[in-house]
Amino acid sequence: MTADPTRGAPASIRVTARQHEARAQALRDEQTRLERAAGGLSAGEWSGSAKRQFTSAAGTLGPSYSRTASLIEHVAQTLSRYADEVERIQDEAARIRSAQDSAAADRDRLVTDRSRLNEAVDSGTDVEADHVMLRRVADALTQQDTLDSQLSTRWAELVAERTRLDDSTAAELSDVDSVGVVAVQAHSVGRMSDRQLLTWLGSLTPDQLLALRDDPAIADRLGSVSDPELIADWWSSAGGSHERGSNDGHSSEQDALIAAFPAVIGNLNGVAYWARDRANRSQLKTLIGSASGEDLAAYKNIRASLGKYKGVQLTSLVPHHPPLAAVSIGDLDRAHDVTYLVPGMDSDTRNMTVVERAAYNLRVRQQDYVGDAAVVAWINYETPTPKTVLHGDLARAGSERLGQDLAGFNAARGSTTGTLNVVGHSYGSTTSSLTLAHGDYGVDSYVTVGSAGLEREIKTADDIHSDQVFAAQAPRSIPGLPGDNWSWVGQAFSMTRRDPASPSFGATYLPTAGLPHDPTMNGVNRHDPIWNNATDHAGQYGYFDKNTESLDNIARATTGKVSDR
Amino acid sequence: MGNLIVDLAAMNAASTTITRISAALNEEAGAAGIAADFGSDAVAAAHSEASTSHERSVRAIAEMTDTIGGWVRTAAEEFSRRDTDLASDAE
Repeated sequence: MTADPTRGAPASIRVTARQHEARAQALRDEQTRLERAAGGLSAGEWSGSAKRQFTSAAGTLGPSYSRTASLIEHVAQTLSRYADEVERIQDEAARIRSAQDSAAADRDRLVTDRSRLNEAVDSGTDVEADHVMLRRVADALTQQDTLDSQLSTRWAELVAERTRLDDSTAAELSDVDSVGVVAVQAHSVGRMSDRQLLTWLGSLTPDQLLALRDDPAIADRLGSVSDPELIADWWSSAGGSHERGSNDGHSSEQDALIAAFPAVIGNLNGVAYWARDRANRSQLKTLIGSASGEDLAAYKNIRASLGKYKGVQLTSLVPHHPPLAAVSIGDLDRAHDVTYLVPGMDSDTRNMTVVERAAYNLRVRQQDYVGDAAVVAWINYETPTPKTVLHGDLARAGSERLGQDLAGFNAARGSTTGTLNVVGHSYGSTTSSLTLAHGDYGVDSYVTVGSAGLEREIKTADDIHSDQVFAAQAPRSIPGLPGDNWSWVGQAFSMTRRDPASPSFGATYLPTAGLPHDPTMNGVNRHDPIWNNATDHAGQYGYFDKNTESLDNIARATTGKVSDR
Repeated sequence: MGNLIVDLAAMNAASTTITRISAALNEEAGAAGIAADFGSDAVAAAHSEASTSHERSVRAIAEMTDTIGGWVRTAAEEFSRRDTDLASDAE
């Protein structure tokens, strides 16, 4: 683009430069205040891990003040030089313009003189002096042509000079001395490998990480890292001596990563679950502030689910329509026995609390058998409606997501001992069985509950990567009569699915019909996960209702206690 | 009852100072500068990008400053509670 050498206001550029200088000085002054305050504390008698954390963070933060101040000062200096150069070029442009104006006036006068002299010649009234004058005028016009050409050349040179000045100044304002190495590197994340990206992020200070929070390219790139082991190593490394960290003890870098990229960290497999919970809760607030309609209702339902029980973690939150989420009842970072509960048809975050209640009931029952359990209400996939429940597409899509989350669990837990179990209710068994048929995630027990049928490629229990495979199935019935009146519909009308509760499949059958005269072992007579409550549906029970034989057997199956009964 | 191990007054003063530093930085980051007439779209764009980058950095520094100020405040509160408990035990 051609520059206009007259454009710009050097005075306003200088004012802006001075504002930058003042901002840089303010940063340096505040740095001095901070170091004085921190130094006073460091020399005091306060001691312990909090003091060490403070001293370390303050020590890292001080240089960030001066580093940023230096960048701002460099911009101020660049603008000052730019203002001087713009002014010099404008002065030169004014001189050329003035000379061109003067030359144009001279040319007009010479042309007028030549016309007058030619008229005298044409009319025969000329004298010898007129011819002398005509030659002088012609010579003067020739010199004028030369001058015009020189002025035009000088103007063109000035235009080129201004173009070079603008280009070099723009480049200088974008270089590493003006915006810092982090901003320059941030532009190249698309070309980094996963490992390079994580190494780079791991090299940044907490404030540098926070400064990246508004850069969607960084968040997108981090979210695309799909190796949970790589993520787990990186996350532990970011924790320093805290390693994976916990709510009570973690590094400033981990805090900054959560604050900078909540939407990514909250769903990033390999990251510790305390951190995912924090990130997702933060993101949930943001989404509630911006969502509307059914999505808003779903987000509020998710929020309600977090307040119903103690020790709940929001381990996934995806702004899908309706939103997807996973809520753990219990500490997923530490619980010895962990169960993923995969729900079926029409289960989404708009009725999150129903699935959560099932997870809660299962965990309570599990803890009758083991000391420390966690159950994840996993609504992290799009479940089918009655119209789509006979198709396997959503199950296949969901099975991949479940596989990613189970791999993430294994990576995040590292060498922590414990068991991993999966329970699939209705279409959730269609989904989860595909996950475990296609991948080995070290699952200890797998339970299908009121299964809508397993896809035909899963021929027997041996095709499922789980140490033990169980099937819980209530007596089947037609709609309107007591019993499970949906699971057989899924199995039969899909035309191709298998019934995991049939003897030929090879799963261990879990009774659900109830024990006569035992009020803690009622029989299941609904397909629903949860049906009975204090005020309604007396005598009717879903698979995960309290005081059912079904819940007890599922709890036993997922804690290794089936044989104890 | 006086604190025997830590100077609570100093901790509280430091916490207040650090919080004020954070507030000052946020104010600095949010201050609107005059719109300079650069006479060049390229220079104006580069300047805008650099200024945005600086603003993000200053806000991030302010946030971290506030965070560590919060640590001092929390520690001071814990020490204060401990003092109160010690005083109660002594009675």
